[in-house]
Amino acid sequence: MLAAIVGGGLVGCRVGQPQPPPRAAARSILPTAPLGPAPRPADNAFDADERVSMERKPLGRRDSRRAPVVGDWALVMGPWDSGGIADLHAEPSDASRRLRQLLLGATVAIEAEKNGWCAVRSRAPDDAAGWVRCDDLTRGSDLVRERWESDPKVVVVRAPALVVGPCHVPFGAVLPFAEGSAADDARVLLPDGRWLELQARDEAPWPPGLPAEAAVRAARGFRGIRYADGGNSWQSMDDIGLIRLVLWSSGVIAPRDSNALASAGDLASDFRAGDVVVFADRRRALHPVLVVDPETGAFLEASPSRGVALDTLEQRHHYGVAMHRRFEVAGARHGSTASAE
Amino acid sequence: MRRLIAATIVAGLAATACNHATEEVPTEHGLPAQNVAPTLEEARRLADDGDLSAAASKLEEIVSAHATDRDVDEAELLLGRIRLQQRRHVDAVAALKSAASGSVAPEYAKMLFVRAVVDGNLAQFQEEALGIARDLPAQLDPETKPLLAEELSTHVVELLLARGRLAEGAEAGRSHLRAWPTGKRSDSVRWMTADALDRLGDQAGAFELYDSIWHDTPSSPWAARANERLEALASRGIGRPRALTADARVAFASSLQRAGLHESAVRECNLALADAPAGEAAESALVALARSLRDLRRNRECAAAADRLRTMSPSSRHLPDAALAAVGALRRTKATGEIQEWARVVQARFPRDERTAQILYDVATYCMSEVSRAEGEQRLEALVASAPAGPLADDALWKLAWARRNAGDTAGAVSRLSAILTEHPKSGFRKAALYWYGRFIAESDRAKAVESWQSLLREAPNDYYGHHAAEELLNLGVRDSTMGNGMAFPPIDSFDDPSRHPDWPHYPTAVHLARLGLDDFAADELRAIPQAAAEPSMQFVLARLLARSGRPAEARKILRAQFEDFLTAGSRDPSLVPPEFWHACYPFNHRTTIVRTLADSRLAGTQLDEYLVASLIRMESGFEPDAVSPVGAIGLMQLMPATAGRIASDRGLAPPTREDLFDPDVNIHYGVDELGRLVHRFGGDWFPAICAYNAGEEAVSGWWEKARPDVKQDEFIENIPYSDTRLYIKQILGDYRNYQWIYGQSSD
Repeated sequence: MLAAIVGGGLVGCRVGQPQPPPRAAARSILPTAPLGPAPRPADNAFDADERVSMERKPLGRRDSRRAPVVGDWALVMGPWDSGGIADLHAEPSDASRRLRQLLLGATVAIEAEKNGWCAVRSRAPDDAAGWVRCDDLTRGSDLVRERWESDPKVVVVRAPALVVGPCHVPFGAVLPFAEGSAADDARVLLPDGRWLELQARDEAPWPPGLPAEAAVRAARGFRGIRYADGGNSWQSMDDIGLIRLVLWSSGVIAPRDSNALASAGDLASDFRAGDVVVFADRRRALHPVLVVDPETGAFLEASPSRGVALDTLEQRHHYGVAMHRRFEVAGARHGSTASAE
Repeated sequence: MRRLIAATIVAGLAATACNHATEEVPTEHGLPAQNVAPTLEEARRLADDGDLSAAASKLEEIVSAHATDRDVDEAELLLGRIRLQQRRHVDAVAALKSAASGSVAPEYAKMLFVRAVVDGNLAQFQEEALGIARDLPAQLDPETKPLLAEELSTHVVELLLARGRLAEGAEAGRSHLRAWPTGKRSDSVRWMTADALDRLGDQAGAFELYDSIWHDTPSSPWAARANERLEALASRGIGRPRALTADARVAFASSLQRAGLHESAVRECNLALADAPAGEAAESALVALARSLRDLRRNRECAAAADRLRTMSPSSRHLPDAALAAVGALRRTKATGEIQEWARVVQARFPRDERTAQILYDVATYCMSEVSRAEGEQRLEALVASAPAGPLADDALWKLAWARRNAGDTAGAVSRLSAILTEHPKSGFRKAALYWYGRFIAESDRAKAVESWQSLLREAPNDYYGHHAAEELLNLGVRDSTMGNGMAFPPIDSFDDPSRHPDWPHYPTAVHLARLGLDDFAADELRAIPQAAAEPSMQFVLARLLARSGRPAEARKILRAQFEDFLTAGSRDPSLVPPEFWHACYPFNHRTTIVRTLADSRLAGTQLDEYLVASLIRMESGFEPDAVSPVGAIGLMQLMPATAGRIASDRGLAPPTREDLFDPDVNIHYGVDELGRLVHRFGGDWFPAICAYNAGEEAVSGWWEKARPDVKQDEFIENIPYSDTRLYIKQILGDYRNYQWIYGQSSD
């Protein structure tokens, strides 16, 4: 099916004018065997699957035989069983602190290389410096850059992820249209040049992304995802990672720091879906949450005790509301917007 | 409520509008400034909430501020009581000496003074305390004297012996045992007296008392030591071992087993078998032997004892008991063939015996994990079909549901959960089954899922599963679900009017003592009122007094016995169930210490808050500072001395003593430190850290890091291999939400 990207080359792919493929069916990701190590798909495990069609283009691709070029651009393409996500670490080591997760297709500039790790500076929405495994990046950047910079794109808005076979295309991944894509038939390009057809309900044109209300409705799909520092995907989530990811899907780049978040965007006093409320506890620690239903006072948060979960303002009455912010693509003064990137 | 929230927010916004700079956000939630002199009422309120450190500092301010004499007397009495509860004995004695010469309940100040001197082993005050302990009974009110006399008599013995006055001590001990032969302190007095007689050279007298401790009260803390002394004296030809029949020896072995003294139980069983190699007594002895050997993990010997019984008497009525022990031991050695053989034997000979059902259940779960899932499921199915309705059948259905779920057969899981709900309405798995039934069918049948979760909210709104059901309903936008049983709590006695029950003895004294903060004395007075035992409102007052005086385990026992319905299904509506009830159920003693310790720890600035620490303490020790676990974990947060030693060593400090760890402040300090280390170990995620606090970090890191990353947290919890840890984490997460709503509003 989808993956088979590692060292894929052109073997087994269809060239010329591919027939319109059947749509990739998104389905629940509830696992069948919750415990035990996740199986890693073999390199060519999905080539024979007829439900997904992909055409590989000689664009950038992962190739561990080629050294990364410092100063080059690259696209994030982690292992498929991680949904193409790459962890960004503070040091060139898995044991170092994870700063955040870079989503499939994120653009990075390679600044250095050391023992199989690349020092990168990522662009929006992450806008961060750190280390990723070089194997999680594409090589050969000119065409990549051209396509990723110029083509119209879509953002994946299926939470917690769009599941294609054993692969999870992450919520928030921004991917360019592939050639021959029709308006109601979004065929998107993957960083190694294959394409994947998305159903309309799983994507939104980028920019501007989803309206705030639709974004938080979609984000309810993250409920139950476990909490871990530096998480911002279906694998794990931290409090600010959740908020930034959902805002990103509606075209807003929010700060990653709680204090900065509490003063970004616009001050608001009436509740709307997509507003960020920042609670403060007795110790003045800040807890940002995302309003999902103004009527019930329901909000979504990533909490260490429950993972991503809904709660109500009533239940959290013991916290004070330190800030109530609204982020809108047009007119945002403090947060920047994706369209401005 | 919406209006209230809006008002809070507006206030928050107003506060922040002036301070737009990010570093100056939230300001309104710090502790309020205290510029006025504290009052006794404030100090009492803090003490009532269990905030002993804050109460004590306010009382010290009152004493040093030269308030009215009466206020100072009251403050010193309460301060002495609090310092004693904090195990700060020298400080307690200082306050109580003053209070004892004051005008407010001086007899209780004296009583507490004696306690402080004895508990703190304060040599310089022992003679003074001895005089008080001897004279005080004559000064007590005739109604109160019987409540305190036994304790004072014990203190006389303790103080005499501490001063080295052995003969007087032994005589006082004997006199005490004549007056209270089965009193609650007679075990310790018997030991002290025997020890004194031994040291005085009256070994025959000592032998008699040691023998009584060993044979009559083997579960007392002194039993093992008494037995050592007995054996030493017997080896010198002093005293004669108690002659026991084989039957009596087996009964004694069973008492030893219950006290955890398995080596001794094995010895007694072997002696019984030597006396009676066959017959009923021998069969009972073999069962007792097999059980003790199983608990000693001498697995092959345990299996051999059970085999011996099967050979000796194949139709013995004791055979299923022996089989149960043997299967338990054989599971550890993975002796699959022998385990299956035992299942076959008991099923053939005792097909309808409850013990057989238990064995079949154990064998099925063994097969599930060690042989094959198919055989395990087959055995569980057979058990469900044949076993009487009860906990085993419920458990089997629950395990089958998850086996089906994990095999990808959610419909199979739903049918098992449905069977629990319809055929076993009293099942202990009902809450879990209601929740997961809803989860598994929500996509296909929304209405049924909603119905299931609404039932759960009515039956157990304050449980882990209740909280999850509320979230699921919130997600579906379902409102107006009834939470709880809707019952009104019985009226609570405000306990402020001594004349409310003129016919009840002890009542006025109890009210007076409670008003002075002498809660434990008030509780004892209240317990002595015969009419109060049948009055729920008085039982609730008693539970509160016990909880406040540092005896939460006794309080919890009363709450469970009298108010079970409210514990599981009580409404949160304060017009139905008063906040005092929830405060008693969910104690929050030492709150200030917890908050300050967190603020000074590496957990500062994280989301791990005082409510989580409170839930953990409630689970670990029930807020009992003196709690000791069978493996030696100590105090509120159940710290192992080695763990505390490691933390101290990492910081270049001397390791805390065992006594130190009973001090709530010290215990919380080390416990929070350990929790912080675990949270750090798991990358800032405190869910696995809490699991690791119970199951150890190695086990948890194995489960956590190998789990598929897309497994939702609630499903992960149901698949934790250790059942203790599964229950532990669910209890803590459920309690955490309860602490949040119960104490949130009063978070000053």
